[in-house]
Amino acid sequence: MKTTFLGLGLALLTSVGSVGCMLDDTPSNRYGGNGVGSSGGDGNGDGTGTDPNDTKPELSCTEAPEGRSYTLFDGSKLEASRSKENVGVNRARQKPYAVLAGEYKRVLGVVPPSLASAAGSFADPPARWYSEIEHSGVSLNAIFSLSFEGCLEYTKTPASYAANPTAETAATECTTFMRKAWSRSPSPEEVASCVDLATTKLGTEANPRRRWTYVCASVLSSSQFLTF
Amino acid sequence: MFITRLTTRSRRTLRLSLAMVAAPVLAAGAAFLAGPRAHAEGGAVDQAEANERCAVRLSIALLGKSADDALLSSSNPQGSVDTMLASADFADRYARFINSEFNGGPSDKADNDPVYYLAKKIITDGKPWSDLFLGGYDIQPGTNTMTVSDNPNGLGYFRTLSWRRRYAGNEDKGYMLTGAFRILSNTTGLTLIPSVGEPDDDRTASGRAAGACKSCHFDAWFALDKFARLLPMRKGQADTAEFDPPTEGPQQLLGKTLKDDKELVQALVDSDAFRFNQCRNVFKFLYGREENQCEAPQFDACVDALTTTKTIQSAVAAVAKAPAFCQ
Repeated sequence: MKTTFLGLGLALLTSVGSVGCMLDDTPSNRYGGNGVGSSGGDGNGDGTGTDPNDTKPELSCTEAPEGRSYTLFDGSKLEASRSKENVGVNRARQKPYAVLAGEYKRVLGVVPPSLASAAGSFADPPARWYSEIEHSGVSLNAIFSLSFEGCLEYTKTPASYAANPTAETAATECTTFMRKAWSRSPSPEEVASCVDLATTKLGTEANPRRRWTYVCASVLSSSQFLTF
Repeated sequence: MFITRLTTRSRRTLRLSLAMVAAPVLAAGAAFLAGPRAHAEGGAVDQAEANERCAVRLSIALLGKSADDALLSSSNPQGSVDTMLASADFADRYARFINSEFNGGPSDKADNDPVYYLAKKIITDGKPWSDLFLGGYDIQPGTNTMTVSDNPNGLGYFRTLSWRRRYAGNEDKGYMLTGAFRILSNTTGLTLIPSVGEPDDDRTASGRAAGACKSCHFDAWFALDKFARLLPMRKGQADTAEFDPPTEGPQQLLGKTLKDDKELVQALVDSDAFRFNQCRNVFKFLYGREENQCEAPQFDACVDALTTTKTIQSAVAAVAKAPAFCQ
C-alpha cells in the first residue's frame, strides 16, 4: 500500500530533524505546489479545489502544518495519534470487486463472463456492510484468470494481434494498453519490461493471439490497474 | 469452472501462466516504487491523465462504481463531487461504511442494522449528521428491511429495540455495559481492549469497582458503569430481552450532571471528540486509512463543514474537493 521508498526517505529525513521545505520555507507555505491552505481550497474561487487548465506541481508537506487541536474529555490531544506521513503517500487502495466489471469494460470493452460468479473469490461484503478488499492467493489467482478470459475476447479479432509481437509492435501496444488500463503513460522501464515479456519470456507460446492475451492479462493483474 | 480450466491446461501453458502472474507482480512492485513521480520527472504532468485518475478515484471512493465516460473525460472531475454526493449510490455506500464502523459485524438479519437504515435516510434527506445519534426517529423491523419514521421520543438508533438487544451485554443486574461502550465508541471513537479476567474474578458491580477493573468501570472519563446507569436495564436475554427505564437518577459524567441517555448523547455529540471521530471516519471512507499529520488542513476543513453545514455530505466534500485528494 505504501510508497515505501518515499516513506522511508521521509522517515530518515524526519529522524535527523532537519526537514526543509521544497519550494518555500515560510511557515505559511509548508506545502509545495499551489498550497492546500487552511481550508483545503486552492483559491480559484469555484470551490472545487482545481483549475482544469493549470498543470500543478505535486503537493508536498515537508513540515507538519499547524492544524487545530482536538481535546478528549481527559484532556489528551486526539491529533497526537496521527502518523507522520506526507500528503500524496499511502494512497493506493485496492479496487473493490463491485467495480471490476466497470473497470474491465472501460479497458477491454467487455466484461469477463466468469466475473459475475466470482464474488466469493474476493470476499465481497454482504448486504448493508462495507469492507476494504484484502487480496489473497485466491483473489490474485482469480484476477489473472478473469483478466485472461477478458483479454481473450479483446485480442480475438484485431489484425494487430494476428502476428507475434516484435519489439516495435510490442512497444506500441504495451504503451497504448498500459495508458488505457492505468490512466497514465507508462515509464520507459515499464514499457521495456512489457516488451521483454511479449517478445522473450512468452517465446514458447506459439499462438500469437494467446501471446498478446498473456501480455494484456499481465497488465490487468498489475497493482497499477488493481488500485485507485 | 476455473479449476476445470486449470487442470485441463497443458503443463507448458501453466508454466506460462505462472510466469505471467510473477511478472506483473515484480513489474508492479518496481513501478510502484518509482510511481508516477518517475514519469513526471520526464516532463510536464499530463493533466488529462491526472484528471482521468482523479475521476476513477472519486467515482470508486464516493459511489463504489467505475467512472463513466463523461467523468473520465472531464477537465474538472472534482467539480462533480456535489452531484455524486447527492446520489443514492453515495447514500448507500456511506451508510454501509458507517454501519461497518459502528456495528460489531455483518448480520444476515436486516433488523440488526438500524445504523445502516437511519444513516441512509439522514444522508438522503440531507439532515444533520448529528441526527444519526440524537434525531427523533423510530426504526422498526419490516420484511427483510427496517422502516424509519419520525418519533419525538427517539434518540437516533440508540433506542431501537434490536440495537439494545444486540448490545445489551450480559451483566448480572442488567446494566448495559456493552451498550454504554457502543455509544461512546460510535460518537467519540473510543476504543477499549476487553479484559477477560480470571475464571474466579468477581464480575459483579462490587468486583468491577475494585482492583484493575475500577479504572475502566468507574474512574476513567468513560467510566462504563456510570454511563450504563443512564441506560435502560435489561430483563431477559438475547432476542427476547426487554428493557426497564433506569432507576439510579442523574450521574456526574463528562463534567456535567446528566439525567438520562439523551443528555448523555447530547454531551458526547457536542464534544471535540465527536467532530474528530466523524471526520476521521470521513478520511477512512475516502482514503481507506486515518488522516496523517500533513493532512491536518483538510481535516480541519472537514470539521468546519460538519460544524457549520452539519451534513456528512459537506464534510466529505471538504476532503474530496481538496487538491490533495486527487494527487
